[in-house]
Amino acid sequence: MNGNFYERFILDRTPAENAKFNPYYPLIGSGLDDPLIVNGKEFVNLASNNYLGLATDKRVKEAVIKAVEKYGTSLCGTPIATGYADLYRNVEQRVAKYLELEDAILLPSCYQANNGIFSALATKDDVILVDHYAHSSLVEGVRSAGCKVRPFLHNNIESIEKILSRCTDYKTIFVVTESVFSTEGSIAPFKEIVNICKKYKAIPVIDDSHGIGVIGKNGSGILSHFDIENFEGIYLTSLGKAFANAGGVIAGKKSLIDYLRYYCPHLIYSTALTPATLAGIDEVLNIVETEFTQLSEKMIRYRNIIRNGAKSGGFHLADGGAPITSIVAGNTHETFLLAKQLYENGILSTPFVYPSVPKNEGKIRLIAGANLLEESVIKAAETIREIGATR
Amino acid sequence: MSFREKIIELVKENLENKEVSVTGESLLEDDLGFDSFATVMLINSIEDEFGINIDVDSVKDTLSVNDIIKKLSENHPEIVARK
Ligand SMILES: Cc1ncc(COP(=O)(O)O)c(C=O)c1O
Repeated sequence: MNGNFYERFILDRTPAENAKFNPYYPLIGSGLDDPLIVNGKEFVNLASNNYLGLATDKRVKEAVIKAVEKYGTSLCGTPIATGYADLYRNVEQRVAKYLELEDAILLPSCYQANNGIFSALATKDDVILVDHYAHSSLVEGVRSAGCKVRPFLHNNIESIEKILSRCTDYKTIFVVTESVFSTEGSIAPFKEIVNICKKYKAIPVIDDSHGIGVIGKNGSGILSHFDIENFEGIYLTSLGKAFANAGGVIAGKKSLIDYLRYYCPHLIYSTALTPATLAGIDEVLNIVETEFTQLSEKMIRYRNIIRNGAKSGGFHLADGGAPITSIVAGNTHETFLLAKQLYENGILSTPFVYPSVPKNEGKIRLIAGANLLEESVIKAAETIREIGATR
Repeated sequence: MSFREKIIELVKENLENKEVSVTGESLLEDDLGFDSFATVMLINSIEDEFGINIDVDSVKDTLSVNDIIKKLSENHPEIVARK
């Protein structure tokens, strides 16, 4: 019975075999310190989304420990049941205030929020416009909504407007994009997108996972980055990147968020974020509200050091305004080989290959968190330059 | 503009990289870097342009721009003649 079932799932190992290197699932043996321990060896970590370097911040760790002592490890319930700790409500409210939005809910991850939001809100009479290069979680989410999905050219206002002008027979139009596209570090022209949504009475939906804690006033993300006030759309973000914890946020108008509190299955049927995570987020909020400027200056300075190293090594970089350096590496094999060279020189990077990025446009992403030592960043930049110059 | 030229124009319009040249022989995935969303964008543009509904499954196995033109000619002969 089912003799063929398992034969369908054969992993293609050729890219790793050809490069004699598998860049995925590196075994991490320490916190995100400098150096980072990978497979038992010391590395400069240019791979994590720990932009502000808060994942190992002493204050964050202490807040987490305190919460565990008070609440234990889990409330073993979904938010609608016993999972709604006072800590949980406090973080919901603080996050909403920080974003200058009316209300917010917290899900276990942004992947889950993105997966759940469209099936909870869209009907078959609606249409969803989505950026061609949107994150997998958004693509899965919009596809599950059961309505018409119309991708638009990446970050391209003309393409959005052209499609919007054709969308006359739909009840609701959603326009979905990301703030910072993390494989290249580009920032979406979101102010223009919001304006065009107003013109066509569409609802803008923004995934700010790589924007929160990275851009905007006190790191509060894309809305403040572009001075967008009274945002009429839906805001999504991850608390697992610059916010150094875990969780997905859906924020926006109070009436909508209240509705989701009862009608978003991805929220109400999934165990609530743990007290440890909630306390961690709470402490990160304390820190960004007072220290974002300093941390951000360091993050940008490090980005520039790495970027200059890569540039003077002759690497072709993807363009972007975010603190991400993205080397255009070529096909899958070339991307794996570059990741391997970096790895052999003590640098952990994130390689993206097809289908995460377009075919033959593999990228190596480098993010230097603000917790790294400046000397490590300078040394890594020099190593990257040398690797580039000797190719 | 002939039907064929129009389809090639729509393919170009839906490319992220405008520097890639497009001919009837261009392979959608290998030459033009088409992914599933790019295919959806192209189909949507053709639908908008000609006011028809295209069954996405009907173009699933198309490899080249010519294959798309052939499939459309078979399934929607009325649009080929359109001026
Ligand atoms: C743009 C974007 N959205 C959503 C997610 C998912 O976030 P989370 O890790 O909270 O599930 C990611 C993380 O990879 C992301 O980059």
